Amino acid sequence: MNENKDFMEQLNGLDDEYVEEIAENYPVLDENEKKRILKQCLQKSGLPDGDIEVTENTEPYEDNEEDEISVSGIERYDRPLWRKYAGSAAVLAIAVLGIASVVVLHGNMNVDDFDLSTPPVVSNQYEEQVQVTEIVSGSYIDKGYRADGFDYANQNDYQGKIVGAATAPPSPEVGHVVDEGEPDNNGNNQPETPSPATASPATNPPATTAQQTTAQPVTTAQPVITSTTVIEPVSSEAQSSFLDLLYYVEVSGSSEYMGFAFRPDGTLTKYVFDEYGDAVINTILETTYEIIGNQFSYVSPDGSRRTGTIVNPNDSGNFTVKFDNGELYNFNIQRPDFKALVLLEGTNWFWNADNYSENLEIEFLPDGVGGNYIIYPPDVTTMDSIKVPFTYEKNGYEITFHMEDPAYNILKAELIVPELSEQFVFNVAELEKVTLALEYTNGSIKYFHNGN
Amino acid sequence: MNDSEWEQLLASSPRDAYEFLIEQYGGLIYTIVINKLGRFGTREDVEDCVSDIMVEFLKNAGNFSAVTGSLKTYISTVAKFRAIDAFRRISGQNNHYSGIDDEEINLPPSENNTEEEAEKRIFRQELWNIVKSLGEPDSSIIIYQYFYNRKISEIARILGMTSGAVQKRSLRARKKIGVILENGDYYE
Repeated sequence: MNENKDFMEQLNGLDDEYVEEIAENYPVLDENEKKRILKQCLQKSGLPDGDIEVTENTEPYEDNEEDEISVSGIERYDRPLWRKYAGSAAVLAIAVLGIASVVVLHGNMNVDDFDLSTPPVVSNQYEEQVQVTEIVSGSYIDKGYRADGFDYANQNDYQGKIVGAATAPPSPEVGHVVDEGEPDNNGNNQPETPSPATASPATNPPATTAQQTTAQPVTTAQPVITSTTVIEPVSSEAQSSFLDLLYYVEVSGSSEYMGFAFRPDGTLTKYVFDEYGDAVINTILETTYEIIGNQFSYVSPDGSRRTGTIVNPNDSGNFTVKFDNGELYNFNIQRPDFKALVLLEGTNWFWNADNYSENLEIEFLPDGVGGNYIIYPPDVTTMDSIKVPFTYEKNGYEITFHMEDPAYNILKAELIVPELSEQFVFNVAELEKVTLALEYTNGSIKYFHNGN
Repeated sequence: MNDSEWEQLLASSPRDAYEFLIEQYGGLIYTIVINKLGRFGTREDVEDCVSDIMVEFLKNAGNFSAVTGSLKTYISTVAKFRAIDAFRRISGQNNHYSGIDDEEINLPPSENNTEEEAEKRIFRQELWNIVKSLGEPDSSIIIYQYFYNRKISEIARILGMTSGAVQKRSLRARKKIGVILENGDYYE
């Protein structure tokens, strides 16, 4: 329990006038609860109640944050041996494919493929009205671009892949993953003897390339988790609430918990538990990168930055970055012609932009899919001056932005893909590679569309 | 509802009367009870207290007259007293004795605890105003989570949101409240 929670408990004990207001504006009793109360009334009055069917309340009344915060009751996960080998085989196959792809594509790629000099088309309809609006997706690339660089696809066998961070390159700076930990006196698992270094999936670039095998020795500190201990999976109670996996992670001396939830649609959501351990942040795996010309800058979640040069971009969105320390990493962005677009079932996609507290965030609300995915364009503080709709067009695709509700700063963007004939299904990791970003700064709004 | 309508309802069927009370005033009574019990009581305690209030009210329904006051006021008064009784009983069972309204309920105000209670009251009012100022759906999330003690999954269902969204908004809302309180001057 923390201070935050303590003062929130003071909400009980309000004066009568507020109580009446709460009862009126925030109704709480559902039909089943009403039936339970009615049944009790009848029983206490000696009246028949046999025809009332109620569901007994199984919800714990207190500590409603427990399912958010608790790491107690963590069960040890014994990963089957065959899965380790299967995972290793899969990793090897992916690595081979990656190497082969790089080799094949190397000669066909040109940095010009990522030439961002052509400005996007902004519809004239709103151009004059939106005087303060500047839509940029040309040479200026903002760190709003995001890519996690990791493949969390095919999560049916996610445990092996996540735990092993199979696509991450080995590195002396990278810490250790312990598949299992021994419970301490408090019942929590603690780090055990480190196993061979493996990077955290949340903070490392993806598969290495053929070039990496000849890369220079690491000369700069990597912005990576220094130690990773899997405590996982969490208790069945927590799993039934929302988490499928839980990790205890040490980052530069401090520690935090990372939880992962796999959605019915196959997507993956990451939760980072805050310093109190009683709340979660739905960050979804993400890594920030910038591309200016062929210069690549990678910003890790801890804020450290690495720079490099794109050496072999291609029209499938794959490219390799040679970092200043000589390391080479593959990145993948979806198809350059509309790689910023998440195409699913040919329907519309919506972005709700909300600068509720710290930064403007754009929330994906995939129509017909359910769930939501959030990206966080940085350095955005307000959207007050977005008063009228504006439209962005590119390659026949049209995205219309409009302020849904100024009172709540809801900026809605609608993407229409009229001629879609293919169906693309992306998981969260791929969604993170979707690089739509909005930035609103000092009266101008910038829309960033990766590679265009 | 006037006296004759109420008497007619009582005479026709006690069960109908209960259903009417629950439908019309169940939410209010529940809110009054949980406001008094806070986190001392379980959900079952709250529901038990609500049903006790209903039963007691119906047993003494003859004392109520629409001429002298509204049914809502009458049943609210009954609810408050019974909720205080329940709080005393439960806090005694739990051997807890430091709760939301213990000074109000049990102790005659001295100079010291009067001042302390006044400060608490001001704080709660300020907290309530801040919660309301959050806007929707954050106000609802905080109220359901901390006033009604509902689980995240329940809140998500009530508000038609995902659990993740509720959690995230709750976290932000609490941080925002914390900042406001930290910078505020609600004691002055």
